[in-house]
Amino acid sequence: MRFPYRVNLIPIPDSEDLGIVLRPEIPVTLIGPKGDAPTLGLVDTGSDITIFPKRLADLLGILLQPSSEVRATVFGGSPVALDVGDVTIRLERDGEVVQWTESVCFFDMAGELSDQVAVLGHAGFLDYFTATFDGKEGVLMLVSNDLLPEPVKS
Amino acid sequence: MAIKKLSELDPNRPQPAPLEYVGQWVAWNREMNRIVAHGDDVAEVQAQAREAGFPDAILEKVRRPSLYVGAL
Repeated sequence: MRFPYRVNLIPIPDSEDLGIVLRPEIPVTLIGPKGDAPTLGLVDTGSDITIFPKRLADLLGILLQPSSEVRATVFGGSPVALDVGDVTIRLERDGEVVQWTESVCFFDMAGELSDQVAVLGHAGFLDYFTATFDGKEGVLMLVSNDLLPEPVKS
Repeated sequence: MAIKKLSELDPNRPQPAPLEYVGQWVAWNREMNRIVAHGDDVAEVQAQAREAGFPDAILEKVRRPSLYVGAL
């Protein structure tokens, strides 16, 4: 599966102008008891876990459990509690579909996390793929591996 | 660091949301070159997108432009 990097706006240091950078943000579809919701996630090899906005769990009727074990640290060192819930994740690209069900983390995008992006990290996502980040072309290639739980491919 | 100017934006890539949508949920078409619905409530935004003929619209909470320096 080949995903072009997405254009993102960023502030230019020492300027009031905006610039652009490319990031591997890709569309993923979350599926829960009440339906499905395509959204965007940043593929991040620096993240141990996969995290989505809690509001999407509410939308999809995903039952969440507060996790006493899973806590994250945001930039600056502040610990943040996360909820955990089961969701089906579907990736689609150019006629190929990969889908699996996974227990992932959800966070409330209020307060200090209001600007946090959904993150596709190792547990729940990257562990199931060989990922090639082509910085020159601005393209992410994902090839699923045999760790993927009951993959559905077409 | 390779920060490009806005004028160098590649129209063939998934696009960024305009600043006017910061803080809102938006629904993109699959090519991510057109916002088809927006608002504060993601359920309403998805419903509006589906009514407009975009059942697979991509939902995004639009962030302020910022440098990303690492995950949670």
